Amino acid sequence: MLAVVMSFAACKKTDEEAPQIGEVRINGALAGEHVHIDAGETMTLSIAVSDNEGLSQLKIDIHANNDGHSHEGHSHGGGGAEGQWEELVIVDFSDNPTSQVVERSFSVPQTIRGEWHLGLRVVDQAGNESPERIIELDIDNDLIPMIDVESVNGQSPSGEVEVAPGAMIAMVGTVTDASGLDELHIKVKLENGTVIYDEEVELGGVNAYDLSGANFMLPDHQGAHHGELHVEAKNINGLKSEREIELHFED
Amino acid sequence: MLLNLFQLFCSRGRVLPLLLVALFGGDAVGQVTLHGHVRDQASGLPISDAVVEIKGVTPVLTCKHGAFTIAVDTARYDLVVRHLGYRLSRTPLEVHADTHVDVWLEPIRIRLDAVVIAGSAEPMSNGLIQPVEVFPGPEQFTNDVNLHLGAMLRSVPGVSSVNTGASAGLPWIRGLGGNRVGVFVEGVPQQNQQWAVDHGTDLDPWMAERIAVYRGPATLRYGANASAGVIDIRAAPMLEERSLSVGAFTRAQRVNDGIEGGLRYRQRFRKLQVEARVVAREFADYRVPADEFIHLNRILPIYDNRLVNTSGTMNSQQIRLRYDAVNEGFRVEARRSQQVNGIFPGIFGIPTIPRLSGDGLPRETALPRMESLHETASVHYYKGNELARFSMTAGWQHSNRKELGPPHTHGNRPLPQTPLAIELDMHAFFASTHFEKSVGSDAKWFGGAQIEHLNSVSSGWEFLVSDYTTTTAGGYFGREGLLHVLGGRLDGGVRGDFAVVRSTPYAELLYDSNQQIIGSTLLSSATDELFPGVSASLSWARNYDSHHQLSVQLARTIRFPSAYELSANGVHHGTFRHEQGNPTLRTETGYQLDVRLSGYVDRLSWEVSPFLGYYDNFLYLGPSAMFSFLPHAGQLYRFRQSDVIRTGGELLARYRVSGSLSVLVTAEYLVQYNLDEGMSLPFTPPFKTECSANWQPFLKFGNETYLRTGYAFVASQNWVDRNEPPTEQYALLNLAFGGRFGAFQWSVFVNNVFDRVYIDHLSRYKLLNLPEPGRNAGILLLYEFNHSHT
Repeated sequence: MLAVVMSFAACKKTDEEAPQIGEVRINGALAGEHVHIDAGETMTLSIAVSDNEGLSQLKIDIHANNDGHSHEGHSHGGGGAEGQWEELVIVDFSDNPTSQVVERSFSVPQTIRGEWHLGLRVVDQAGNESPERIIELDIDNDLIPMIDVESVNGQSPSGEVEVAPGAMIAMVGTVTDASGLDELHIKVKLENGTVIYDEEVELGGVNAYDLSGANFMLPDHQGAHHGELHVEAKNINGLKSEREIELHFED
Repeated sequence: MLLNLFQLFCSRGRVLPLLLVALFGGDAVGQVTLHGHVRDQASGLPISDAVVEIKGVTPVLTCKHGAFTIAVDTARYDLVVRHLGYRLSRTPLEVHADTHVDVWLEPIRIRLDAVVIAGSAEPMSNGLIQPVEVFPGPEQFTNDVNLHLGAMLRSVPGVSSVNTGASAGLPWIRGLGGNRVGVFVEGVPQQNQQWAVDHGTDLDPWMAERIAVYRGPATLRYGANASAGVIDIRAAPMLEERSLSVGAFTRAQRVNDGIEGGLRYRQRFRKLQVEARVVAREFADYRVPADEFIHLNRILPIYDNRLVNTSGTMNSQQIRLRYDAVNEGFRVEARRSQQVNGIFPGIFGIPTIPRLSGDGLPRETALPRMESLHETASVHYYKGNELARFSMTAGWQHSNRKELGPPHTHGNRPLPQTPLAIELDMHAFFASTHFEKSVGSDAKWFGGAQIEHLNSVSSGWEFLVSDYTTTTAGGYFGREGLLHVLGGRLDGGVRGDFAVVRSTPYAELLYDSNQQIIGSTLLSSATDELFPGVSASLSWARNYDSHHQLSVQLARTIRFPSAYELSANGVHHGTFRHEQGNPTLRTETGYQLDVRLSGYVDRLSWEVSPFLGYYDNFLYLGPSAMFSFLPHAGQLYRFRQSDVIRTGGELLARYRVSGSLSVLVTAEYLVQYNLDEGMSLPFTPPFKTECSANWQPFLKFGNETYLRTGYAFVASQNWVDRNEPPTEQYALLNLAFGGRFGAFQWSVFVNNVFDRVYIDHLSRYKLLNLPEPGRNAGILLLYEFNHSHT
């Protein structure tokens, strides 16, 4: 019986070869593992892709590395990103070429800073998928406020922070901006979406603000075990930056 | 050629000459024949390979039908019968002439009710299919860290378990599962695995009393959802009249700090029996020997070697009323099970490091999590005798499954206000009837019909599958003993089925930057499909002597596309993929050849069961040449159909080294080949062989003390589907030690003794490079009280 199957397998020829992602250029320069980009500028990608029989689609995925994760083949995992920016573009190769150079431009928002990941994947007509190619984008930004939270209730903000309902939320850190800070907005949102604390602090154009001045009592609540501390700063030019910290509520 | 082979085997057996002398009248002057049967005291089923001993005479083994024959001199004897898993029986006899004696062996129970893998609980025709008759011992099941039916049965050759973590999974038979393997409880198909292809049954393994596994085509009797086999779970036999039986158990294990327990009550008055059973369980995040995993090519950490948020709880309750008069009876049963299982953040949206770091509370089941409820009620009536039988079954089920996650959104869509991502709510109604009538000594007609209606409603802020209804109905008839050819018996039957699948369209709303609705996009169109199908089976079986049997089954099987396979379009968190239905799917047809060769020689019993199948329009989930349009989702997987060949087989050999030591070796292999793609099918189980030794020494302290070792080797699997990762070979050693003190039984076990890091080819977690649980130790305690007024 096995011989029957083996004879079929020997006769059938199928495309199992994965397509390739070749040279990638960003703003004309050959991209390595890390690329520096300034917030607010246009980023133009030039991506060479190829396949032995015919390409089907290319996926361009830009996402924040706001938790410091790394990718296969990349040992760097420091990371950290402020602000929101996601791009998901699927390029369709309707005529199934065996090679193609794709060009796409993206506007880097003025409101972000830190490390982003550019992920590229390509699939061929048969469904073979290439390994994901990752390029780390270091976004520099002097236009928006810098929020630096060192600790919350003595705990690192990189993981979940343990707090008790009704207890004090004590932040250590600063908010700075060269052009001047306008206001600070602090919210606590439960896992079910309910906002239980929402406070705005007027900063009057100062260049630095000590976050200990915004400490507050966490309102008591029932049911939810998880939530999010949301810190948002706006400068006098109206540009914002934000920071989110995961909370775990003790019983 | 084959016949000659059997004759060669038989001529070398030491037992057979004695039987031949007894059966055909040898010339041993002064001897008489002692014959009889050995049966299970609880189930009444015959026990094969039991050792029948009389001092001064070569011991013999019972045959497949539990029969034995010994030529002895007229005298007074002690007839001793022993079999692994049963208490030794000693019967004083005074033999003056040919004598018939039936021996009933009491099973050694290590559970509330021992799970026995055996033939059908009721002596009804099963449409010619072949039950697995493996008795690996119920203790093996109790030592598994996994807590579901699939894990419980995976020691049976040809049966594997497709797992999503340690608490969710479903049984596969010969590499196929889902809508190809029917799971029947008291004759009612369990309908809580129809959403997606790997949603397991909610049946707690501790609630199962007797299980028959049918390996191979079973559509003739069980319908289109049983083309690869059936797991048939039945109630234990009734107690003796005016008897009471009460039991309790508790089990604890290290790998997930799990603790579970249960109570069971059974009381029979005269013809009426009342039963109740409760089981509850709680477990923490389970430990793995790994400190990182990969999700969509992101390398993410595992803190404290625990998979965060894989904790959970489960509780089940069951009540049953039974009435059994001579040749007539009924059962009424209600069962409810409730589960809460945490979902590892790596399989629900983008796993962020804060979420993976957990909260330091491994028993807390946070978001994301799954909550499910499964309620069933059924009634079963039967009437008849050896000449004619009739039975009728009706059942209702309600399944509710919720997947809850942190509210999140993409694009301009408003943020959801509840954590309810997906809710799937299903009601199912089922009815069936079966009859059989004997015609002559070795022939009977049988037939029956089934009808089922499902109604499923979906809600939540994620879309997976539309609301749908499915109605299936079918009827069958056949005859055992159609012909007697080539020294064997030919049986045959035919069945007709149809399914009507209707689903509603689903459109997702589109929003502008002010979160105002500006239109919608159709994710799933309406379906209204009628699928017809005819299945049939023809089998031939021959007993070459009392020791060897050959059976061959040729079957045409069908399988209808499910509503999910026709209309799904969303991320299935169990597979971490965007799965898309295909409304052009048609009925799958299979042509399967199954061979089963079994026998025993002296202390060795064995079984070989090869098979070959060709499938037209084989339905499966495969990668498309497109990416998902959903954020964070990778390649789009779409349901499709291809022509497929499948072949493989299982081997089982049991050798009784001595009265207290036995060795069991099993092996299984499967090849699946997609003729259209020129590749294997996904999730094909690799070659696997297991060797276990069971030693039951006679010790001064305690009773029934045993030591069991099990060594399993699983080969690497490199013949994979497109983009499917291969897996490496591994070997595991398991140990168990147990015994009894009066009404108390105990077992201590260690699994994966060497803490081996391995990836199960059938685990959905292999896509994340997440290994299986590491070394696990545990203890099981049981208490059983039985009282009878008779």
